[in-house]
Amino acid sequence: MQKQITEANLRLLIDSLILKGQRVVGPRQSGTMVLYEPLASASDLVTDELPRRSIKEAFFPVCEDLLEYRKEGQQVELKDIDPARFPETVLFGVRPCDAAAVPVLDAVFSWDYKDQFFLARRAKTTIIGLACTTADDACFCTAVGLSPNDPKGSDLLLTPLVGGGFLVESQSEKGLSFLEAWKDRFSEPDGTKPLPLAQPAATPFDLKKIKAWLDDHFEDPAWDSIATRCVGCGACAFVCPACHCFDIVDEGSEKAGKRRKFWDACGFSKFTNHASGHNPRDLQHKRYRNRIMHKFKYYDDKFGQTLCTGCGRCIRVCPVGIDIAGVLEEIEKK
Amino acid sequence: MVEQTPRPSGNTAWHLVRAMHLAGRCAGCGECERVCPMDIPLNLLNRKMAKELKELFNSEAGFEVRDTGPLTSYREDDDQSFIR
Repeated sequence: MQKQITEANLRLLIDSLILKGQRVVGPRQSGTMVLYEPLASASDLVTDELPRRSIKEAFFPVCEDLLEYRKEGQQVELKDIDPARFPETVLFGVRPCDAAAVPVLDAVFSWDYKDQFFLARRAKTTIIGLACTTADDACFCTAVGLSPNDPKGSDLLLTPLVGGGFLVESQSEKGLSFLEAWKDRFSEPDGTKPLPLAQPAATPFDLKKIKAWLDDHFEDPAWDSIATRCVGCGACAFVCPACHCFDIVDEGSEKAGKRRKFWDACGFSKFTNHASGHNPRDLQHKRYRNRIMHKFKYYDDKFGQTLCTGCGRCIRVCPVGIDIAGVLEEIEKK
Repeated sequence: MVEQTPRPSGNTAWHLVRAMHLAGRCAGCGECERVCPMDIPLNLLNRKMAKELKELFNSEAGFEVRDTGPLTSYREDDDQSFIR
């Protein structure tokens, strides 16, 4: 279903949601940068900048408690975290490269093990995407089969119109019921043209060809040269909307503590370190190879999708200037 | 207790340990601050430590190739007023 909404009505809608006690998260200025954070009012919403960190935190926080334990004498008390306490949330102004990563995460978190924490937050969240009209040098969504107005992952997709306002397209049942619940704020489309979409400079990759090379080049001297520079800081994985590796630890004492799940990254030297001391990925280029293999081969083998949406964040934050699009280009030429 | 999860206590502990470890060693190139993906002003701590070292030992890191640094050497006339 297609509708239209004015800029003023969109802001009124956001304020009405907030006044109703609804948790609304969107891009907002936070210190020196724009981040997806809860909005205190519609005026917080920033619509012209890609947040520094991705939307995955809405479902998969940097760190979360899984359970609490307490021990007294021989008595052990365990307290579960109840996913029912997670609040209903509306995500506003989610960039298509972020929204597109959500179904990618869905696949892995509801695969052989159903991650109740991820899935409970997911079920309670409505994603309202916002098409991009600007791109920077690092953007490459168009190179990995997506686009600045890709609806993948959005329940509703907003496209900015010439002269203000947005075209609103529902993409799911959740999107439809949102339109229904707030129908007074929307109007029928009047044929106003959308603003020209962003045009990332990257040309589309032949992902099949790249995968075919990856399929039989686990051992190749190219890995050493591709990843010589990598310092293993893990920043790429943390800002990535699709990276989802985590670790689980118990923190506290023998008397009381918490079990926590937190982000991990395959770039870290201890990521695959065995208790024996053996590390199958003992050198940095083997760890970087895993990053590329997981995104463009293993994930595709398992779920038929690519684990990269071309948001370009890893390129922007890399302290040594590793450009994943450049790496893919190099592989494609082989 | 130092936690390994990325929460305020573990993050604070890490930054304090790093600042102490770099005291007398950090030459102030500012690279850590430049690459930080979250704009953390790491140099606030590093330059604070450098100022302390300058005041306590009249020492500045990065000027001598073989500088051992005041925190890894001992001299009879070192300021000991902080020992109480």
